[in-house]
Amino acid sequence: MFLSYLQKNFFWFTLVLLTIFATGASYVKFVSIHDYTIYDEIECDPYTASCFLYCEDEECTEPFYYAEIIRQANNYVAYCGSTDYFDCDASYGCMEEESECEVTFCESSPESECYSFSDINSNQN
Amino acid sequence: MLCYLYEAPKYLFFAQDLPDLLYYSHIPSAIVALLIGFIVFFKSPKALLNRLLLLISLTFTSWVALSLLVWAGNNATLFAFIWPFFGILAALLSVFCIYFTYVFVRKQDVSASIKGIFLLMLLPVLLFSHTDIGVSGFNISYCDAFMFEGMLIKNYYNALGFIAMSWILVILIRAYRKAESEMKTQILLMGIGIEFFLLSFISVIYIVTQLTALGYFENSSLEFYALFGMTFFMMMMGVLIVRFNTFNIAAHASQGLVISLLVLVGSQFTFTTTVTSTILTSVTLLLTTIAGLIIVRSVKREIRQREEIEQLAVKLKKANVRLKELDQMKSEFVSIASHQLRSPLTSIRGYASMLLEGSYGKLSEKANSAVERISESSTYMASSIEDYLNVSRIEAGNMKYELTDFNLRDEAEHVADDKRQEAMKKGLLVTFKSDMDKHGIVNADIGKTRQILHNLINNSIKYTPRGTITIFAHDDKKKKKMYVDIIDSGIGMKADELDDIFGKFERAHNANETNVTGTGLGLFVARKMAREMKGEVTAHSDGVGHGSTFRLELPLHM
Repeated sequence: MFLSYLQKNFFWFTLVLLTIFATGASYVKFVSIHDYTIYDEIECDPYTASCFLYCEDEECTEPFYYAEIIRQANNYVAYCGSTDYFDCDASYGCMEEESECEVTFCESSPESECYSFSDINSNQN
Repeated sequence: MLCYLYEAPKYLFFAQDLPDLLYYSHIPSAIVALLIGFIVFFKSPKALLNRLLLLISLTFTSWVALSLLVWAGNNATLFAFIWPFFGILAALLSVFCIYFTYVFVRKQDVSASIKGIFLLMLLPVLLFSHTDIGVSGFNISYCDAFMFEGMLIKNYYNALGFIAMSWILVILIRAYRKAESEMKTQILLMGIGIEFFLLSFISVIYIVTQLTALGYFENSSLEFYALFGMTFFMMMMGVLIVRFNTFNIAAHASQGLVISLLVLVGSQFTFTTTVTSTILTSVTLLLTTIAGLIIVRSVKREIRQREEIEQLAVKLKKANVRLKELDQMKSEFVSIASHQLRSPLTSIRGYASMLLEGSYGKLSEKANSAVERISESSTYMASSIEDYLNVSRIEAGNMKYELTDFNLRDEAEHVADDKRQEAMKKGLLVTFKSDMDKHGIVNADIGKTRQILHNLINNSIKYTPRGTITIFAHDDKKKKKMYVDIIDSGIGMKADELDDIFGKFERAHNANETNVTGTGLGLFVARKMAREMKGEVTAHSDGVGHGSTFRLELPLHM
C-alpha cells in the first residue's frame, strides 16, 4: 500500500527529498563547516599602500580607504569565532599562518582610481 | 559571522534606513498571495489545482520572506546559507506555474512523463545550488553574495523561467483554440496573470541582480518591482473566482480581495513621511473599507440568489423526472386496464349483435331499441379503449409500423365510403374528390393510415352538426407530397386552438356546446402516427362557425 502511494506520488516525494538534501547540504557547507570564501574591505593606509576609495557623498567628507581581502570563511571563524568583528585582529588582514588568504591593494589601471600618498608629488596614481 | 556595517534587525524583518519600497513591495504581495492561496486551498483541500495555487503562494512567500530577512538583517552566515534558495525557489516557481497551467486548462493531473521532465528541470538547481557552482562565497562588506554567484546555475534557473513562460504560452494557445467562449475568457485572464508574474519576477530580478553584481547599481533594490507581478497574478485569480466562480469560493474571494486591497493601501503607511500624506492615506483606507464592505455584501447577496436559483433548478429537474415516471405509470395502468376491459366488451358487442340479428329469437321493438343502445355504447367504448391503448403504446414506444407501398387516394376513398353511412345517420353528406398528378402511392403502414383517416373523419362528423364533409385527395409532385384534406362545415375554431387540439385529452373550447362525446385522443393519436411515418397532420379553420380542414400529409413514393 505504501509502495503504491509512493509510486503515485513519486514526483512529490522526490521533490521533497531533493529539497531536504539541498537544505541539509547548504546548512553543512555554510553553517557547519564554513566551506566558502568571504570577501571584505579592510582599512588601507594610503601613505603606505595604494588604496581604493569609498565615499558616502559627492564631496567625500568622510573618505574610506580600503583594500580587498579574500579568505576562507572557516579560517576567519577559527580566528574570530564569536568575537566582535572590530575586536578581532583577523578582521584587519591575513594572519601569518592563515592559508588561502589574499589582500588585494589597488593597482592603477584605466578602470580603477587608486589613492596613494606615499609619493609627495602626487596624491593619485 | 556578522555583516559588521549593518545593524541587527528588530523582529527579524525590521531595520532602519531600508529602501522605502521594501515593505510596500514585499509584505502586501506576500499577504495577497497567502490570502488567496489559503482561501482557495481550504475551500477544497483535495483539489490539485487548489493545492498548486497554494504551493505557488507559499513558494513565492518563502522567497519574499528570505529576501526581507537578507535586506533587513546582518547575519552573514545565515545569509550565505539562505542564498542558494533564491535560485531554488525561483526554479520551483517556474515549474509550479507550468504545472498549475496544465491542471487549470485540462482539469486533470499531468502525466508521469511530464512530471519526470519537471524533476529533470529542477535537478541541477536542487543538486548544485549549494555548491561552488551555485554560490562560492559571501561579501561581508555589502552583506550579499552577488559577486560569488555562479553564472552557470544563475543562468540556468533564469532560463527555466523563460522556458516556463514559453511552455505556458503554448499550453494556453492550444487550450484557447479548443475552448468554449466562457473558458476562453478564463484562459485569457489566467494566462495574462501568470505570464506577467513570471515575466516580471524572473526577468526583472535577473537583470537587476546581474547589473548589481557588475557594479552598475549600488544595491538590488530595483528588484522590488518584480514582486508586484504576484499581486497582479492574484488579482487575476480573484477576478476568475468572483466572475466565473473558478474555485467555487466567490464569496470568500471577494472578502480576500477587499482585505488585499486594504493591506495594499495600509502598506502606504510604511513610507508616508508627512502629515498630509498620512491623512490622505487614512482617508483612502477609510473609503476603501466602506466600498469594500458594500462590494462584499453585494457579492454575497448575488451568490445567495444564484445558489437559490440553482437549488430551484435542481428541484425542478427532480420534479420533472418524477412527473415522467408518473406519466409512464399512468400509461401502464391505462394499458392494463384497457386490456382487462376489452375482453368482456367484445362479448357484450358480440351478444348484442347476435340479439339484433335474431339469433335468440325475434325481439320486441322496445327490447330491440335497448339492445341497439347497448351495441352503440359498447362500440363507442371499444373505440375509446382502442384510443387509450394506442396512446399507451405510443408513449411506451411499443407501436409497430409495417411500411408497405399502397395507393393513399384509393384508401382515402374507401374510408370515405365506410364513414358515409354513419354520417348520413346524422344528416351529413360525405363526398370524395381527387386532383392527382401522380398515382398517389405512399410508403406507410396501411392500417395506421386508415386509422388516421378514420379518426380525422370521425372528428369532423362529431363536430359538424349539419352540412357536408368533403374528403379531397391531391398531391404536389414538386414537394413529393400526398395530401388528404377532410373539409367540414362544422363548428370551426379559433386560430390559437389549431395546435392545442392535437394535445393529449384536448378538445376544442367550443366542443361542449355541440354535446358530443369524445376522449380527446383521436387527433393526438393521428398526429403521432403520421409523424412516425414521416408525415404530418395539421388543422386549419377560418374561425368559429366557419368549419375546419384537417390535412393528412405523407411523402409520395416516387
